[in-house]
Amino acid sequence: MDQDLVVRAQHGDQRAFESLTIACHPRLFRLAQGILGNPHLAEDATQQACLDIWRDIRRLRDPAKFEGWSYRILVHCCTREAKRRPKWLPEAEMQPADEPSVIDATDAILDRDQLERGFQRLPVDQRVVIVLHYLLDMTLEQVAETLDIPSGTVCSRLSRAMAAMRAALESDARPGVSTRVHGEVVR
Amino acid sequence: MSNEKLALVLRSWLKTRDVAPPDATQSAGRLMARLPQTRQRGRWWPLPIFGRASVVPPAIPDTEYQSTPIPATPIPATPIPATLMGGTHTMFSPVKAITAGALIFALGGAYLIAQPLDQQGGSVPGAAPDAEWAAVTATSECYLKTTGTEQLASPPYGLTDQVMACTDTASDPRVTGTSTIVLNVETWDPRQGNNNVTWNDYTLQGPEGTWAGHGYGLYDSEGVAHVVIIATGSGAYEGLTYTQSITVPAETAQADSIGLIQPGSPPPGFPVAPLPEPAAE
Repeated sequence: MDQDLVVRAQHGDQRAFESLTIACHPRLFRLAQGILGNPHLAEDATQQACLDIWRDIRRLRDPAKFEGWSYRILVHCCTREAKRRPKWLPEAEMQPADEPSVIDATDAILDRDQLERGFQRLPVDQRVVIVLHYLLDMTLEQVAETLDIPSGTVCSRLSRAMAAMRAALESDARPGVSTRVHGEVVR
Repeated sequence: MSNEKLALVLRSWLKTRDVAPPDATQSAGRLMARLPQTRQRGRWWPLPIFGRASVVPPAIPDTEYQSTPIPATPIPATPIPATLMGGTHTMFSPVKAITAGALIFALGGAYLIAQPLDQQGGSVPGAAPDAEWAAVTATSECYLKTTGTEQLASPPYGLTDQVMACTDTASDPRVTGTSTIVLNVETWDPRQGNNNVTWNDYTLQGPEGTWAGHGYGLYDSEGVAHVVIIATGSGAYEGLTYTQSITVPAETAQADSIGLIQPGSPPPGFPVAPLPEPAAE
């Protein structure tokens, strides 16, 4: 990340901020899409995050920490976006499967719909840890640094998220068992 | 299902769910259209902006400092890690307390010495004969209106003409309104406090008149500004002086002050000179 752009944006340079936005938009969008599972919501959250970044960039004390700081702002926007969305609407938008996945090869019971339902039941703070660790391939230490939280908190969030995902998948896999989606019981 | 297998499943599923981001240039274009409606929230006082090691020339020969008439702490050859700039210290420090106290007592003492109470009433033509003093508490919320000009080439480093626009809410309606501060800082090492002075031109538009004057102060090692502003009134406030002592925490756009409105003019020695004409908007 070009720190000079950050410093210039802190001084109100809109052109510098535009360049900064173009540079950081793809990674912010990718994280938002990972958390929300819907490209339209992800774009809304990314746009709002960029606006919040512009509004608060003067409060960023160390320009070298812009990347983690911007991730945290995005996570906050994703949380708001997730809360704003009506509970009865499906949050995830299914993408066409254009290539075989490990899932298909390992276990036919597990499909993407089950995973999506289980994932969307997680609190946003647990989804973030999963996305940063498994999609963006950050180490747990990097996740802790990015989110500015202790490593122990990252581990416990990941542990709870994995347990919840496992429970959700195993629950969904049992025939005749009702499934809870966004608090609504679906049979 | 083992953790390893679940991790493998999750990793694979997340990657299949990943989609290409929209065109970043178009997204940025939509964003830029919304920027004018989004006001930047900023620190009120500029020293923390000064204080980043990244904007300071990293290698300044110590000899430049040795040749200056004012003793200063030499800047290390290697930049100070930014983590040292964090606010992890306690906000209280003896140095800060002594500095703030000394500043307030010096200004207040000079005021009293220069102008005994029994002479104040008659010193300003036009002062309301029955005017009384009023103690004031106020809160100011400010944003950066115009970025000032930085001089970072050589010490003393400087910032001039940074314009702050503020909304002042006070216990006395006469000093409740909108104020403008044109701010300057001169510092010998922008990464530290206690080696700088700050001064400003100040105007406050109250409901029935205007206050205009100047402020002086310094930043301590925590980036907290301690400033005293003395302003004289015009319009309905003609013949009154408003003195404020402001403490501005770092990393905030809000500051609290205590003040005094009193009849009479500022004491001799306080330069409440006419302010420059405001630049056209």
